[in-house]
Amino acid sequence: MRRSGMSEGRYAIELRRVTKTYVMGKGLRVEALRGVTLGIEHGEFVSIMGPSGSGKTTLLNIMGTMDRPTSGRVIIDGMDVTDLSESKLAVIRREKIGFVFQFYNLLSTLTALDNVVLPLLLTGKYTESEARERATYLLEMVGLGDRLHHRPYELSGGQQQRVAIARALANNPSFVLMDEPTGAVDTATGARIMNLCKLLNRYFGQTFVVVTHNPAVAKMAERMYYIRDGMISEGQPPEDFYSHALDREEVNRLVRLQLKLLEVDLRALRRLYSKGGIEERRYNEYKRAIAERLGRLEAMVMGRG
Amino acid sequence: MARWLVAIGLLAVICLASADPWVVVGKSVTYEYRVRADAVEGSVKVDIRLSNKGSTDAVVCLADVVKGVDADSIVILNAPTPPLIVRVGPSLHLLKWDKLRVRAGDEVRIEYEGRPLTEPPVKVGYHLFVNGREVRGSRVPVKLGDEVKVAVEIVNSRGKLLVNGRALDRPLNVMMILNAPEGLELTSYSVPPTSPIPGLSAKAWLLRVNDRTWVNVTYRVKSMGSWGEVVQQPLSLECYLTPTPDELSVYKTQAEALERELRAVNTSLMIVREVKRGLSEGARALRSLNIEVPKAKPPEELLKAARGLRNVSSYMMAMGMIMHNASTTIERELHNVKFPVPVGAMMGGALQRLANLSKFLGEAANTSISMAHALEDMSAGLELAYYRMLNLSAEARSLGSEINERLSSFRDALMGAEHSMGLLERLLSALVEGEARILDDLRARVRALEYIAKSSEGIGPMVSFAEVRPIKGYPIVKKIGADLWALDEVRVRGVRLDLKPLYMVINVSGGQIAGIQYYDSRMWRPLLNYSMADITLDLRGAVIPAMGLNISDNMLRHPTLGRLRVLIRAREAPGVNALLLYMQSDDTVKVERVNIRYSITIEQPTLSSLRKYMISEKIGVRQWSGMWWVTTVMAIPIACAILYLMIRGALMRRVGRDAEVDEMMKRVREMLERTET
Repeated sequence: MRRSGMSEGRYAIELRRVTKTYVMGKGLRVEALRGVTLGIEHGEFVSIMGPSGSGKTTLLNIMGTMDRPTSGRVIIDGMDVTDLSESKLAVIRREKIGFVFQFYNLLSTLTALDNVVLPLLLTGKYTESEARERATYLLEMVGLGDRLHHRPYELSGGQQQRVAIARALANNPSFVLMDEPTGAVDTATGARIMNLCKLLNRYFGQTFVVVTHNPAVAKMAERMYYIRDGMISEGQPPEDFYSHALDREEVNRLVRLQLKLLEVDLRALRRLYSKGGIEERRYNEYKRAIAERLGRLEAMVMGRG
Repeated sequence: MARWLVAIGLLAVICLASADPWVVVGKSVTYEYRVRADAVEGSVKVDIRLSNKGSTDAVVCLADVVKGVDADSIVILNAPTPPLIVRVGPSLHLLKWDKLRVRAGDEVRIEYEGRPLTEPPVKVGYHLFVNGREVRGSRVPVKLGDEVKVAVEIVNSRGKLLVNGRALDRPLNVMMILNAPEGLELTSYSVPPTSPIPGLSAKAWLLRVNDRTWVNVTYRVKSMGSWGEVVQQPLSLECYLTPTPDELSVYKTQAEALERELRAVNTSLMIVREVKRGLSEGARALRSLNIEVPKAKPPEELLKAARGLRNVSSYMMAMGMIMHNASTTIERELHNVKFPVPVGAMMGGALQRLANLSKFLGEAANTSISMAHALEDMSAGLELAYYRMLNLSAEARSLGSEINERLSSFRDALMGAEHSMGLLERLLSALVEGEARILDDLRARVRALEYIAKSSEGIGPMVSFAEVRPIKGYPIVKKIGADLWALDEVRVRGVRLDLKPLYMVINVSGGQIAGIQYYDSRMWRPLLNYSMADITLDLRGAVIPAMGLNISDNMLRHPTLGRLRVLIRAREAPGVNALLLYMQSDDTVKVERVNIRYSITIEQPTLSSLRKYMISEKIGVRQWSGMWWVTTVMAIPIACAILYLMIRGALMRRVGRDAEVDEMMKRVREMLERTET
């Protein structure tokens, strides 16, 4: 894994002169991306908007390491992941990136809780009881504390999407990639989902990248990019991004849930330390990430008095 | 029947109480198939939601297109009023609700279920092997240590899609979930699960199925439970008929490339028309000059002829420049057209013609400019002759014969130019006609690609709002053999452009439908697989996708197959009635993408140590004796692995606690206390 000195720490994800060309046989080529350069900082809420066929999905696949660029570099959390092996990329996807899809992609045979537990168990950091506790808090955070044991088909589209968001947040990803997150729900539910993301971004510094063709959804972001014919340009930031104020009690509830999540993480960290179940380097990374989240929450709690 | 449908059709228009409301309609369709032994039981559940985002109430007349569902089996689970069920054609019905009121800011939900007439897009073959031998039945005898292999064959049964005589793949994304129960130990699999799930027994495979694929999972019987059996959960498969991003982007890119091609052809067409118009005017000017020049008498007429020539010269120069620009523009447009897929014969021909046109215009431009220079020289010669005649009148007569010769040569040159222009004009006219034909072909091709993209999105067959309209005029039936008639033309009149035709329904009386043929490479060819073309038919009727209908030539067309004809077996001329099913488009109503999900569950047999008619006295013990060596052999690597993990754990284990973590924990707890109040 190569470290990129330039972008370390600052960007959750950075693309440098990324191109993607599909060769369709007999020498015919489609240029889906043409030299895209883009940097999304930690704690940003960014939308990428463009019409169908503009290269949005290709860009999303490359940002999510699901596809490799033809040329250019992809840097996630300061690490150049462009040439990593598929198995290493799988680890990056699991630990650094959260995915939210248009059609939720929940496992229909698992309950909402198990859908969130699943990625937590995959990391090997948590015991099953820790994973369940953490998943419960995450589902409470997205307002589904009373739907833990429902299966996806027993939930509405909006509720399924909120489960998908909880699942995406499960492993404290560096950034969450959302592909048309409101495409399959009605407008009001879509607005609620986007408000939830905005809130998680604003109060807890979670980085979100939303790819959409819907201008109303794109405008909810702090920064907007437009993509057309495989080329990207930055748009004017919406004026009212920070204007929406939250109910004090709601913020308090969310802060407490975040603290409980941290408590679970610290317990898991303590266990990993004493049992020797984690390498020194990963342990320190993990600890540093928790310390950062704790610092942000502390500043917030103290700031509110 | 037709009159009845007319009456229904008139009612099916979406009408709103005011122009303001914005009604969003969402629809999801879930097909569930349960396979038990050899029996398949299927159900389809449809969920429609109408949300009024506006500030005033809306009144909506809803017609839901139901294709491939047994109408008699439909049960309405939730709806403000019962619907009227109208049969439109084979396997095609409308569920109609008149005047549904959707209150401002509110939602109306309609749910119904029925029995599907269509098979799922995947066929699943389930095979169970015990110690390498295939076994069947709801209870399968096994013993401890037996190897149990589950082999699942998944076949994409959607069929290919025929486009311009070529069969295109329609790959499916399928998720297979297999729950391994306690008592079975997973030993191997042919395809690794997409997400191996430690701590959970479910394994999931995300598979892209082009044609068919196999997944084999092998277990070893580890324990049989207190009842001496292992109950296996059903195997489940799910697939969505939504296209994968790459699949759709390929189609969209193709459609966009073709649109660019259309733009290039359009630009060229405009240029061709402009040049043609200019040439026609030029030819007229030359003809008039041709008449006047022989009549020219020195000296004034000579000057007039010289000026005429100069005008024609500058005209030819301008034409040359226009043609030069046209040539460059066409070349540039051609350069911009990049085809993501191999270009078919028709497209190749179109591109070749454009390239030829560009080359021709370039050459014509050069000829025109050279001719302009020649005319300019001739004009100068005439003027010179005029001035010389004025000043040297005595010499005029002596020059007479020379001037006459020159005029004669001018006339020949002009007649030659006129002839060349006539040829150019005819050639250009032929090109214009050819381009127009290419344009039509290209537009049909774009429609076909749109249809492919949309049918893979699930929009085509299950659109929510529709209107039934009889076609004005009569379909044309031709006798093509003994007792055999063909319908390949329908007269369509008064089609509203804002309505998008979805299906053409053809009902036959006095005969029976014998089949469908499509026109390919100058031959009528039989269509052998109707599902490949999204066509349903029975003896009395046929439902054909109508998105490719070309109202200008009345030909019966299919969006991807092109020209089509329905064969009817009848002694006398059969009666034929054709209807168009439209999708209503309205600025105030938005129909969101239809989500179609297929879920297939397959019962798995119970694995039992109890043999039929015989209860073993020593369940699970008798088998053990023969398996000791397997256990011993397997125990060695397991023991090594455990030893390795213990040593590694011991090396990594840390003594004491991390003070930083303790400190952080303390801070978290303090904040939790602080925020409690």
